[in-house]
Order: sequence, then structure tokens, then C-alpha cells
Amino acid sequence: MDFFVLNLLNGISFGMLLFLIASGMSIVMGLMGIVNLAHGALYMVGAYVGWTIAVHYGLNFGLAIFLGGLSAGLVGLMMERAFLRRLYKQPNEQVLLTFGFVYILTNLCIWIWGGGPRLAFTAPGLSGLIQLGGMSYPITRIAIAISGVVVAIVLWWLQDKTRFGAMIRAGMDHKEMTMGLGINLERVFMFTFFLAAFIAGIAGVIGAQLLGAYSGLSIDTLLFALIVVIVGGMGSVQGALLGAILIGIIDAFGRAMFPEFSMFTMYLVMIIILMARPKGLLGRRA
Amino acid sequence: MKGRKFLSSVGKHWLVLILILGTLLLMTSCVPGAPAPPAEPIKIGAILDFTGFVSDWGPKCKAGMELALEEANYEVAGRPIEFIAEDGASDPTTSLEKLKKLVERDNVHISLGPLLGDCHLAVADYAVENKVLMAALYNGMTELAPKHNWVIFPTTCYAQTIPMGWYAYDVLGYRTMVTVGSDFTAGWDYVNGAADAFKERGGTVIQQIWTDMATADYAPYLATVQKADCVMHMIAGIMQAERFELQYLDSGIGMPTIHLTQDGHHTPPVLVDYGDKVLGIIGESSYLPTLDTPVNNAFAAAMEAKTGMKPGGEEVNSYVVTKVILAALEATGGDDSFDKLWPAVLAVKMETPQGPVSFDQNGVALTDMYVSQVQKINGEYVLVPIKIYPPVTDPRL
Repeated sequence: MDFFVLNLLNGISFGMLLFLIASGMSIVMGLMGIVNLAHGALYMVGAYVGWTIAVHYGLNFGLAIFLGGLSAGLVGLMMERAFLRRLYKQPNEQVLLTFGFVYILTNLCIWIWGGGPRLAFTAPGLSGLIQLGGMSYPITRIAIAISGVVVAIVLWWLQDKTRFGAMIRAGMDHKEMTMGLGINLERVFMFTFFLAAFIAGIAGVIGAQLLGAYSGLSIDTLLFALIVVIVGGMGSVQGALLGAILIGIIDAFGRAMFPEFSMFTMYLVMIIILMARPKGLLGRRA
Repeated sequence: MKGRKFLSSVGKHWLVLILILGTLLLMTSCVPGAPAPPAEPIKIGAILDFTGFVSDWGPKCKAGMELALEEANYEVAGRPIEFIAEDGASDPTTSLEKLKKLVERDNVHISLGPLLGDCHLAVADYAVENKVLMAALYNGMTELAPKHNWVIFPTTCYAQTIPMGWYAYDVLGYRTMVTVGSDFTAGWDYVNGAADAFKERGGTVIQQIWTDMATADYAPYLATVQKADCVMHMIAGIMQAERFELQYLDSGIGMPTIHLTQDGHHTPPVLVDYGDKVLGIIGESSYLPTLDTPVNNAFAAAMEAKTGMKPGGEEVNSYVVTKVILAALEATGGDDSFDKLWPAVLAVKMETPQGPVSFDQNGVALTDMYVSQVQKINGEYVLVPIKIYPPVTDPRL
């Protein structure tokens, strides 16, 4: 029983981290049609900045989350304003450009923080274990899961319950008609890209409690994000959430029960989902 | 027509002039006492990892090699040294491509690296076919030794951890053990070297867990750990090793740990970040910056002056192997052909920052081996030797 509950908790907490990593990418890919391969690099920027604020300067963890998100958001904003806005509906160019940014941002981080890794850290007040029934569980992991739930609720509300979310969805469905209604779509897309990068940044700070900060994060997290987006479906907060939790739980049980196959359990799920539902579990219809 | 004739006549004059100048130059160079033409440089290649899984190793290894070359003033036996470092990207295919480039385009006969065990195996056949002297800078697979063209330093992966298995049983008094290791060729050898030695003394390994190299979350593996006297782990890659260690400490499992290849993971800057978390943890190391010998003190000071950081295993191994190659080149009078260089390498004996170093007939180094512990001395977190074992040879050779 403990084994089952423990792995379920492990799966959910890691899944929520995957959601934090992937949700911004899903929004940008599904709603704006931008394939942003630099999403993992934006996560990495957030992780490094967060580490610097929380560990190096020993400042408030909340401030670290905000500044990590803001740094990544501003980098994302620069990418969108200077480059990507000229490349809407040009996926090949977007892929090449954003992958170029992976190298640029990775090397900038190495230049600023050096090649050595920064250790995973625990936010003050979140260290130690909590008793759950007859077993103990790290508080950090529960805090990560709760952070994911909060971000999911905010994003769902923003996307489905606000005028801003409606403008984004309308813009993707019929760009000309939406503009004809007097909506400044360029500004809407700019804010959406900033928001996605901001979420990647805060995910970087929150995730640094488990993964630390290092230059390989840009690619490692990109892979996670792509898998979650493919499984959950593009452009849907609910899809990203469902995909992330599913991947997290299957990965946890796969590693615990069949460790020799753990290298590809995630990919196996992705293949099966792609075969059964090419748009992902809750992918947004065009 | 006149113009063409004129040009033709000028051309003839130029031709004659060039011929005269060429002849004069040739004669001058043959005159006794004239300055000799500069000697051809000896090219030393290196395949390090500046990107990829162990990208943090590359710059450190390069710094160690450069220090050794700087001390030799980039010259050996009257020949200048050209040092060419390539990025193997922690990838077997890339490492092989880079070795081919070094050999076929740069005409290199010596390659320091690649760094990882699977990359070693990927380049091994090509290196034998092309008579390249190779160096495994952070242990090597036992399978490389019979090829007789690899300098394996400080020893094989398997032999490296044998003393730790003995120490766990004899001194720490453990009788049961769980091992956790990275699921790749060298990971298996590191773990099994210590596990087999532990069993040989009478201990029992009750569980072996092999983890995916790119694991982000070790919690699912930790959920399966059975009760034992200790958990011995070897997780490849500094980031992965730290991630595992921190997640283990946070998991509340609470069994004591033994850290294989501790010097590669508990490096001086990492220990600063860890703080008290890993205080007292025991492991196995091939080098300790705290070794108080004149050679090590001089090396550590020079390395710190060069990089601003205290050296770890990557720097020292690269430094020592480069020193060994330079000593062998000196012995051959600067002949870097494999047939001359290999026996010269095997004959090298020198005092190094790690202690005395010599080689067996397979090219495997014989060095002292250390059981180490994280301690806090004068407010500084350091790895200190708590037991020194004389060189251990690989029983599988």
C-alpha cells in the first residue's frame, strides 16, 4: 500500500512540475501557432536567476520566484518583439530561430554563472518531511504540487473565463475577423508570449528545488515539455495538466517497477497517445 | 603585339630572378652554422566534453592539460607542442568523429580522452587500427586494457572502487548493502568493483538498482530501496549525482550512504553549496586536494592561480596524464610514433600530486587509492583521506 501511495505522490508531484514546465509552451504552440524550442532555455534562465536570488543572496523565495519569472518573461518578450512576430505561421523558421536561442541563452548562462551546476535547494520552511498516515513524505514535493495546481487554476481562469482569453482564442480561430472587431492582436500575442515565458521562469525557480540549475536544463526540460504538449494536446491548459500528471504517474511507476525500461516509458505513452489521438488527449481543434 | 613581347620579356626576367633567389635560399640553408629550420610540432589531441552530459568536465580537464604544457613551455625534446582540443559532447558518435578528425586531418598520434566509458568503447577499434595512443582520463573500462594502446588513469573503473568494498566491511562493519548505480558501462564496473569486494569479505548485496542516466526524479527508485546497513551509490555526472544525493537525503530513508567516485562529485565548489548536508559522508576517491605533499601543494597552488578554484579529480588526472605523455616523449627524443611512445609510457615512474605513479604492462596506472570523508576544517568543507590503500590491480586482467 505504501509503495502504491508513495509512487502515486511521486508521480503527481513530478507531474505537476512537468505541467509547470510545459503549460507555457502549450499555450504558445496551440494558441499562437509558435513552435518555441527555446521554452526550456527560458525555464533555465528562471532557474539560474531564482538560485541567485534565493541561495546566493539569501533573499525571499517569493521574490526569487517573481524575479525568475520576470527575467524569463523579459527575455521571451525580446524574442517575440525582435524576431518571432515577423515569423507567424512560418514553423520552419520558428524552429530554426528558437533553437538558435537555445544555444545563445545556454551560453549566456554559462558565461554569467559558469559551467558548474547549481545545487537543488529547498525554500525556507519547506524542508523536512510531513507525516501522511504511516509514512513520511518531503514537504518540498508537496509544495511543488500545490504550486502546479495554483498555476493551473490561474491559467484556466485566464484562458476560459476572461475577455483576454477569449481574444486569444478568437485571434487564433479567425485572425482577420478578430482584428476587424478592433482588437489589437499584436499586443495580445505579445502579452501571451510574455506570460508563457514568465510561467517558464517561475517553473524554473520552483523546479530548481528538485532539479537544480545547470546549462543542460534547456534541452532536458524541452524534451519534457514536448512530451507533455504532445500527450495533453496543444493550446489547452486542461490538456497540459492531464498529460503532465499522466506522464508523471506512469514514469514514477515505470521507474519503480521496471527500472530497466525507465528510459522509454514516457516515450511509450507518447507513442500510444499519438496513435490513438493524434491531437493529444485534450488538444484544441483548429 | 609589342605589349605582349614586352610582358613576355619581363616575365622571363622575373623567372630568372626567382630561380636565382630560390637557389641562394637553398644554398644558405645547407651552409653549416646557418639557423636550422624550425622543428615540426608534436601534435597532442584531446577529446573533452564542453557540451553534453559531463560538460563541466571539459574546461577542468583542459585547464589541467594546459598547466602541464605551460610548465613544459609547450616544448618537449626540442620540438614545439601543438595542443588541439575537441568537444566530444559526451557522445560516442561525436567522439569517434572527433578522433577521426584529429588523426586524419590534424595528423595526431596521441589523444587524451574522450572522457566517458561508452565513448572509450566507441573509439577503441579505430584507435587500434590507426595506432593512436589513447588516454582514459577518469578511469577506463577493463576491456580497453588488452588493446595495449590505452593509458588508463588512475586505474580501471572496476579496480577503482575495490578498496571501498573492503573498507565498508572491514572498518565500517556493514554486512548488508543496497547499491544504486547509473545504468551504463562504467557505472556497472564502478558499482560492481566495490560490491564484489564487499561480497568477497563476506557481505551481502541485497539489492542493486540501476538508474537511467538522464533521470530527473529519483524518488521512484528511492521508493523501492530495501532495508540494509548502507546504500552505496555511483551516479554518473555531477548534476545527476548531486540530484540523487539531495533527493536521497530529503527522502527520509536515513540509511548511511557510501559515495563512489566521491572526489568527482564532492568537488570544492560543490561542497561549499552543500554546506552541512553531506558532512561526514564517506566515499572513495582517486585524488584529494587536501593531500599534504610538496608536489600536491605546488600543483594545487598553481591550479588555483590559473583557474581561481581548488582542483579536483578532472584537473589533476589530466595534468598527470599530460605529464606522463611529456615524460615519455622526452624519453623517445620527441618521437611520437606509437611503437616508440608506448613502451616509453609504460616505463614512466613519477611523483605526482596523487602520489607515486607507475604503469603495469597493460597501460593501467598504479596509484594510491583513498577512502575519503567530508569534514569541516577551519570553517571550510573539504574531502580528507581517512585511509590510504596501496595500488590495487584489476583482478579481471
